[in-house]
Amino acid sequence: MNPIISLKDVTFTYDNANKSALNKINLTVKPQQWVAIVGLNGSGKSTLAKLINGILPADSGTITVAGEKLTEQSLWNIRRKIGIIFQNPDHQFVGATVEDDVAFGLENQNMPRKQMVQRVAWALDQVQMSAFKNKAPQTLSGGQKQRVAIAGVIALQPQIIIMDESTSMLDPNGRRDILKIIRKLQQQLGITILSITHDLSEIVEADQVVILKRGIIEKTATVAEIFADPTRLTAWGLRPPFTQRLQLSLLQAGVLLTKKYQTKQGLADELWQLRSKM
Amino acid sequence: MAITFKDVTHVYQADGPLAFEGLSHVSFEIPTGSFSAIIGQTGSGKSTLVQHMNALLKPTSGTIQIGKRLITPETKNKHLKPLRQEVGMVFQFPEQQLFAETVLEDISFGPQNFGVDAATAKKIALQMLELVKLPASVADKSPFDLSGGQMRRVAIAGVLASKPQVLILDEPTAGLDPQGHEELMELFAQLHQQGKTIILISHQMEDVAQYAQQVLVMDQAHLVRTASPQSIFNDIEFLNQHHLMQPESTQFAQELVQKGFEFAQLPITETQIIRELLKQLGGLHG
Repeated sequence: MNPIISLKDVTFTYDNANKSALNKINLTVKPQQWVAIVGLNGSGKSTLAKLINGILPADSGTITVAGEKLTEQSLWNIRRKIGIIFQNPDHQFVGATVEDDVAFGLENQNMPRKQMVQRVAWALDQVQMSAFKNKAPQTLSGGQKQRVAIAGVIALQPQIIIMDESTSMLDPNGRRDILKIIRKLQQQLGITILSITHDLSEIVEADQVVILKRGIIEKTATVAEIFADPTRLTAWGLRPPFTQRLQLSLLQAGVLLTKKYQTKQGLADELWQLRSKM
Repeated sequence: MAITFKDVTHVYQADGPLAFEGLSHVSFEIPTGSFSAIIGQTGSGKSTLVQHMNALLKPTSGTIQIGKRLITPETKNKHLKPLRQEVGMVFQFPEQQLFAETVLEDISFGPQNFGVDAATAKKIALQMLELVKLPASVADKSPFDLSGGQMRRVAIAGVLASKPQVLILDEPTAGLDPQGHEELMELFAQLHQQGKTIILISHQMEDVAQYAQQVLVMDQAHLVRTASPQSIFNDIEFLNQHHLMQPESTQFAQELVQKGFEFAQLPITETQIIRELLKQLGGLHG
């Protein structure tokens, strides 16, 4: 299958910076994949997203999106294929009501009214926000706002959605709902997902994890491979999961744990066995 | 500086058809020098609540006592400048408020605005850079050339430069990597030890459990409980009712209880659960 996004030797340096923000990046993303992009703050994650969307122009190298090479001419066509969900839902609203807001992008594309009404209804239904269509966006909770923002994005039927820290402002329940909806859309509509994140619950959704470090791709791996070596996680801007942290502390304190348990259940079982032997 | 809310209600767009209550009859007290956390779902009224603490919003009814100042629905904006210097507010995504051409100018703007001369303000700005662990070499750079995490620190340094006695932090670490997160939380703990009153809004229950002495729980514009983190995180029924999570240590302790472990009180931090497990797993480890 042809990749939906491909970067070849892409380099980008900000004005006045003495070092490249991204240096000879090579990356291919297959259609309908969920790819997490991780790394410390300043490693180049957001810059990468901005290059793919043509917000920033690469100094050298080529970027291809859905079979089309990114150039000044193809820019607008490519942007139509990509939807972005930002970190702060409050910054994404333009309409007086939820419905108006979702329709905004479609109006810009001069979609006929009848089709637009249908499309808005469909998009709100996908994110389970139809009941709120006449409400003012600012009266919604953060999770609801982010769902409306997603509706606005999918109404335009993009092939790719970029999530730029888009669950970091949400409480754990809100985050879980959003990830569930994105997962459903990815599977049902065949959308490719690029998620920029530090959050473990978001990373575990990914088919592929790309680790950026000081502007280069340090590693591309599966979620299981990434978490196999918890000692490296911090350097990649990730926090080892709770069970791994706890295990490490107990081992260091001299508790004789036998196996490397990944699950809470496994660790709880072994701790109880140790306790029973006391 | 102590903060006391008495029966505070805030109605947004009070005269329009979209009027809704952001705060409903909220009363509580925050003692001088304490570290308090405010938790609750997004949209529960946390940000509305703290915006009353430096009178960015004024109550529709009720009163707020901040140190010696009383804020009522009738309070005029005119006399609020000293209050804004005493109560520093770090908003969500504070880096969006950076504006100056250099980092140094940005940080020294606050003190100058409150009447400090340029040379002293510059000196303060350099101290603040050090406090938030940024190298002095960024002082002359444009804040917009820095990474997101560094910009966040510059913005926080700018708030600290006015030397506020109360520091309000609205999700100050959202979007930072774990190391940046930890360093900032340690900075806030340090400021607390130096005597500042800290008020933290957070969804990260681990932070609330580790740092807060008192927790205020908001739900749909109401303050539903004010208590210690220990008592709140041990009350699973209450947490479920208000759609809140336990810290991971508490969740895990609960699984251990199902296996047969016993805890007088469920641990709420990693330090607590490790200490408790080492005790229960026997004298092996002294």
